[in-house]
Amino acid sequence: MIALLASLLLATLTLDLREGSLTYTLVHKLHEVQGVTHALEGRAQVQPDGIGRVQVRAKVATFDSGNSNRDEHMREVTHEAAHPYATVKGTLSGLAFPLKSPAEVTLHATVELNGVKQAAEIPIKLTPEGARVRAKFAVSLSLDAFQIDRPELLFVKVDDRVLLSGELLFEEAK
Amino acid sequence: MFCAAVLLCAACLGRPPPAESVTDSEWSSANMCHSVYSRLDLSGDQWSTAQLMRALCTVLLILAPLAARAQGTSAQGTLAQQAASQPPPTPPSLVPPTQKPARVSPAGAPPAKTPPPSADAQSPSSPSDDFDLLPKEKLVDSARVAEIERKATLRRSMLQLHQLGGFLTLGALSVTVISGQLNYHDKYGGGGDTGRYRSLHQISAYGSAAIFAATGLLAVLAPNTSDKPVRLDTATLHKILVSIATAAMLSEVVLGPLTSGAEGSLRQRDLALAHQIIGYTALATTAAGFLVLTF
Repeated sequence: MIALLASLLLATLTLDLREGSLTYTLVHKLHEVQGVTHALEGRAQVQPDGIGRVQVRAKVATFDSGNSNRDEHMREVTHEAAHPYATVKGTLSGLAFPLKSPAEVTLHATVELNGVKQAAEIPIKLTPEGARVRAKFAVSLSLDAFQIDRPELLFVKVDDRVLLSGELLFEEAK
Repeated sequence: MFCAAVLLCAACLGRPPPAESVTDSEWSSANMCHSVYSRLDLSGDQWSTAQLMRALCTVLLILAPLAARAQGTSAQGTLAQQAASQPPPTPPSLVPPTQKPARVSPAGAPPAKTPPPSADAQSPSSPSDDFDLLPKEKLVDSARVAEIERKATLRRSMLQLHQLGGFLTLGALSVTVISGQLNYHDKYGGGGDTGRYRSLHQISAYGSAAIFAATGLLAVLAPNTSDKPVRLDTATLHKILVSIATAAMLSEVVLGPLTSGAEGSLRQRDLALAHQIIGYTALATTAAGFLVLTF
């Protein structure tokens, strides 16, 4: 039994996030705002049976919308001091590594923001790039669902929906 | 091949082989050949035949285990095929308990297809997050968090008022500039120098200066909750523009009374023109500082 577990653990493929970006897109009556971060941490594990687990997180303070006041405002409404990270983690299945061709999978994810967790189904497009795997995704979330007091400009709040998109490059852990 | 070898040995002895010896899968092929070999009667007058039979059985003894191994391999292949057709076992518990584990495909077979994603996206009822692949986050200092939250609340209130002050400043400045233009036209543009716009211009000018100052102070005195790097962004542009507007407003606060006090002097018109240009500059930069935030 121990040998079986050991062999399974040895056979589990671990991928580390090498580079990537997470972007949020907010819509206001007057304009559209995009905040980007490249300071990401992430790891994925894929079992021989094709089931994988993924965790990616970014510090809320690292998102840059091109306006430092707006970024500070975002940090305030997400209570960044108490909840410094935005995290996405979840499981997916049907993975076959090494990836031979582009594949589309669904991450059964939990998104954590402002200390609130919400389940989400996130479609991910995987593309092999040599020994690396590039993952692209986009998911629409509700700010109200995360109990975020929506930011406002000129007394007009931003829309409830926020688009969270990402492009992540994973590489086998060394 | 194994069966043929046994039949050949039996035929040489003139005895049929036991039926069960062929069909019994557990029967040892080596023992069978040894049994056949021991039944040979090697007397002197049958030496040549016996030698021949002994040599033949020796060959069979060598070949029988090989034949049995070949049959065993074939049987194992059949078992593997049968196992592949059976429902495979569930995988070990690397999957979180909330996630229904998928079936393991047999070695070499393609992984099972996943069902299409469910429609209940963002339902908090199906979390699959009871694992951590990354190091744990550092614990936050609750006292520091409370202090930051307090500052953030105050900052937000002050910046809300700052936005309200921005609206009021723009309105008051617009009235000031318009009344100033009318006053200029009345005095130097053939309006008859009636002075009917003078009071309105003075009141709106002092009012807009006061609102402008209060609005600026609300932004300057709002507590910062984090260190912000200095860089060229829309917030910086806003600050640059309203700084120009502030300089213009300060100039107007001095230039306005100077112009008014130069009544009867030849330089009053020059002062009034400068006052007018700076007034427009204050309005334009304030409006630009307002608009730049909407990008």
